[in-house]
Amino acid sequence: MKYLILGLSLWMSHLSVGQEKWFTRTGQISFYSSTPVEDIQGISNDAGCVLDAGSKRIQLTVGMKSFVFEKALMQEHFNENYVESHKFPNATFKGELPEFPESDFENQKAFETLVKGVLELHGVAKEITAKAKFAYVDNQWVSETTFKVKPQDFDIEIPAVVADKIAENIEVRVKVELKPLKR
Amino acid sequence: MKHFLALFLLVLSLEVTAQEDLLSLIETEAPEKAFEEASFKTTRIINGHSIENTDNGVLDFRIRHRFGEMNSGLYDMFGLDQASIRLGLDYGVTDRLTVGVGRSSWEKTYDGFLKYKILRQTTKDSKKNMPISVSWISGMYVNTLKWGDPDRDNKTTSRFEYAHQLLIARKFSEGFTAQLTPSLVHRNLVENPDIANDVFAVGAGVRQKITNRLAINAEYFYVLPDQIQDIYQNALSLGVDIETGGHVFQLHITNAQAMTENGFITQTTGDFFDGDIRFGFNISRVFTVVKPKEFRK
Repeated sequence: MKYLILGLSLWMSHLSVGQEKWFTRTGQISFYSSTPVEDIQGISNDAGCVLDAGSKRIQLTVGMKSFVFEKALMQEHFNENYVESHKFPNATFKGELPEFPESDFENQKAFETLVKGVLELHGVAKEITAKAKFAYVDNQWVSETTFKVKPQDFDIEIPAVVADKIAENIEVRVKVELKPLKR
Repeated sequence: MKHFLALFLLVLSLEVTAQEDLLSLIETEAPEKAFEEASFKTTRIINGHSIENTDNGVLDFRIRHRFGEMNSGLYDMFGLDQASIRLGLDYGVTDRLTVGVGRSSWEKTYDGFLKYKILRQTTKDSKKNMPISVSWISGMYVNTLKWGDPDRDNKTTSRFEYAHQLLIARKFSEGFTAQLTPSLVHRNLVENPDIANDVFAVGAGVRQKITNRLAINAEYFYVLPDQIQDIYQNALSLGVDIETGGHVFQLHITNAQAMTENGFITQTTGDFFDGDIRFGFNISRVFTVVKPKEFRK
């Protein structure tokens, strides 16, 4: 009997928490490739993000075509030749936040935690881990993180002619300001 | 049984957690308008304009070169001893409007054009649906050769020629694009009174991508009958586009020497199938003059 109660209460607890969700549709994602020959930067302000305190999960998505570059040709090549946006229109990240608080958000101090999850880009899913900062400011969770990715890990082919213009490790920066999600 | 039920509820609770896709909570509707991009690799198919515009704030320096006819033999190194060249600058005033100027060695021609994108083909996930892209282009060409007969009553206006074209294109798939180009060329001065000042022609061009960075193109301009002298041929061109970082190289064979519309549409003398074929190339190098707002300090 006590097992049944335990099971029921676990199930109920799952139902009761998990109401605390935050979201944005205007998250900023940018990436930087720096080499002596050329610096390349892509910026998007159209990333979607949902954070669920109940299940301690965070998910992000960004349309590859929403990235803007300094040079228009870079943007065309990014979409046409590298990430092949017509085949793989979005990049997504689905991760877990084991240390995220379950309640009492107003009294939380800013903290740094490891986010572990799966980044899917160019049709390839890869596990990544990154340190992310979280702060609760004016009813919003503000979060920032920086991590590095290798194009070759995501089957993004870089031809020899431009190999010295594109960095081996590309730095990705994410900043989201998450508002409460009301259903 | 109780244990089993407890376990079942536990698993169920985990299951719900694992399967719920948070992103589905903020899914937005399909965009109102999303446009097809990169129907052609660059703003020229081969000789004529493609539906592509120079991007907003971008200056495009274009070097275009046509060698002599290959059947001229070894003495002329199969045409490589002769060259016809056009140097040009195109600028994207907006994403829809391009202006361009150029100077060709052919008839020492100065030219300028305005190109405006009227309709833009939408992608299949766009709410609004537009199956084609349409651009209007008008060009003016000034021949600055010395007068053949300086003693004649030569008028400056005799040097001017014009071309107006409608570019109608559709990107059928990621790799294949086709374009129709109804064209009107007006010459202020023609060889004799029996020749039309206004010449109507229809151009057709196709692009097929081979890889992400390599495409093949074909282009043909058909001049409607009884307008120009029989010595002139329709311009046929076949080529490849090769793309590297900031450049697009177009390598091709064509029977036309001129690279301006008034020239290759109405004054192509070479017969492609008689071997009057020229090797040629276009090189495009772009410079960003006005950066996107995200990159302005």
